[in-house]
Amino acid sequence: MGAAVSSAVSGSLMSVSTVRSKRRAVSSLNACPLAPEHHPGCLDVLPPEVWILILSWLPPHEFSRFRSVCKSFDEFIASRHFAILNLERHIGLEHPTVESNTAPDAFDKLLSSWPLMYQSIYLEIKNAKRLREIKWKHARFQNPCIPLSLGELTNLETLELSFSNLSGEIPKALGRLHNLQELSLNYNTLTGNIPALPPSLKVLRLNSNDLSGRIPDHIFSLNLERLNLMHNLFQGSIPSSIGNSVNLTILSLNGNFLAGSIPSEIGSLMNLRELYLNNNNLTGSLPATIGNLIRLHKLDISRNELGGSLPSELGNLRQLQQLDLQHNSFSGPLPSALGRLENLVDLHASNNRFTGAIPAELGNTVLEHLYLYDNQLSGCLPSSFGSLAGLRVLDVSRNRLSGYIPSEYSSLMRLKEIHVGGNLGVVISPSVHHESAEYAKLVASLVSK
Amino acid sequence: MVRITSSDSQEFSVSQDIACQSQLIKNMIEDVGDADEQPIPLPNVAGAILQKGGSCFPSISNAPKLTLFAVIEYATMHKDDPPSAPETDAKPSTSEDIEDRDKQFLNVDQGTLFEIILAANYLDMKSLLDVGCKTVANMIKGKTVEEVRALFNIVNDFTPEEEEQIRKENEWCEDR
Repeated sequence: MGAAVSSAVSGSLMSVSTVRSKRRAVSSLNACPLAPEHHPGCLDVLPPEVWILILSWLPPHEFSRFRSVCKSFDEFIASRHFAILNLERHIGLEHPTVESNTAPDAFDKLLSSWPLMYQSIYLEIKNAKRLREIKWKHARFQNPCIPLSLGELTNLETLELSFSNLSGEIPKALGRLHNLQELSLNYNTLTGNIPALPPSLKVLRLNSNDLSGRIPDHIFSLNLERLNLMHNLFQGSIPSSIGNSVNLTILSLNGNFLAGSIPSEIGSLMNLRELYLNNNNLTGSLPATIGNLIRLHKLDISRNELGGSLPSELGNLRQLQQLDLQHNSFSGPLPSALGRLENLVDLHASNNRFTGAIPAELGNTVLEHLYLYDNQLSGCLPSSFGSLAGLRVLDVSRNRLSGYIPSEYSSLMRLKEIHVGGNLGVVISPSVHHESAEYAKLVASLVSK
Repeated sequence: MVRITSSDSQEFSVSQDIACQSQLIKNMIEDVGDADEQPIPLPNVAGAILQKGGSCFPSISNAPKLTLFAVIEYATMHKDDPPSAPETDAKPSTSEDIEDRDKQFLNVDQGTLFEIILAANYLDMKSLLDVGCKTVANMIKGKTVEEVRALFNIVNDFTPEEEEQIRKENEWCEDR
């Protein structure tokens, strides 16, 4: 029966309109002769082309499930002829050409529900091959997976299917989008690994899915500028091939199950402005090559199992504004080189095993938040912090500090909180005039823990 | 007037504007011309109907002339219809768009309905074929896969593996 259908609409490259006129040809009724002993169901009473006519009246949101009726129904519904008829009846064959689609219509949301042939012809009549941009956020697809046919839209430069509850794997077909620069599939429940993607890609956002396995080497042979894989289930170590992605400006691998050490090759990413490796199971020490990342503004390696002492090369990161090291096993002193981070605003180093004194050089920074609690720091609070005019929060609780809160701190006009509990004894300085309004304010900001 | 005969040699005489609602007959008349006074034979209609109807629908197995009669009735009912819009102007429509008189006309048992559709397909009567197909589509709509199989006496011929595959593909639309 399938043969009769395909011969009626033969010529796979026929345009929609040619097929449309051909289908009107009177068809032979002898398409499915019956064997004498065969007891026919209704399937055999009507020829395939009539069944296709019948099924073509089923609305696009419903016909797919009738593929399960029998092989013939499946063939009918998967045929080019069916697709053209059904689209003609329900969607029309004339559509304006647009280059950008930022809101899926009721039919777009059915794409992944349809057989591939139908998807292709739908995209053809919608002139979708001309699209340069698809941005579908919060799309409620009837069948929540990525439509394979999107791989045919080779003019696409931007493809965004975020917050759409999509499951299943990322189709390999997307690798054919050789003009694609930005791919955002974030905030879905996609599984599997990352397929090969087009070399044109600059931005890849796959964050907040259920992607798993090792981070594949091939994504680092792309010329990515932004890579966001955070909040997935990736495991294994960070590939050393990461050093090839020299154009990366933002790299987010946080919130996975990455183990092993941070490869020293990361130091090749000279354009990196933001690096997030936090919330993984990384071990080993922070490679000294981190000091090569001179454009880095934000570095978050918190909540891992990193240890050893911090490399003094961190002091080379002159652009650094936020440094988060908390919840690791770093030991040794806080390097005085941190004092060279003249743009540093936030430093979180709590919950480590840092020893030695708090470097007075930190007073050269522009710190607003300094968290050093739960370490083994000793000595006194540096009086140099009196020049941190923007300091809002200072938390040095639960260390081995002693001495006074320096009177210089009374000039810290923006200070909101100062936590000093759980130390060997940090007390209010006797050398200042207790009636001074400034020092009274400082005392008021002491938060007991 | 045009004379047409079914395969069981029943002869019908109908006016040309009614007969020519069949594109097939229209083409035949144009090919042969008015000069020919012979009746137009439609051997395929009745032959096919006999062959198929005979085994599947015993109740109408000897009724090809009734089918042809019904088709003529439909054509008569629609003889004053304006010509249908060219297809390029066709607007999206649904299977619910059936005129009341056509609904009434097609309010027949399933076997007869299929016979009419077959005849319309052979005679190339687009509007009758369309309403016939819409009517069957409306019988399918909203039904479960099992119900559709029962309705048309269709055997599930998928292997278990194929069925599992197609079930996976259609997981999202589990039968309602």
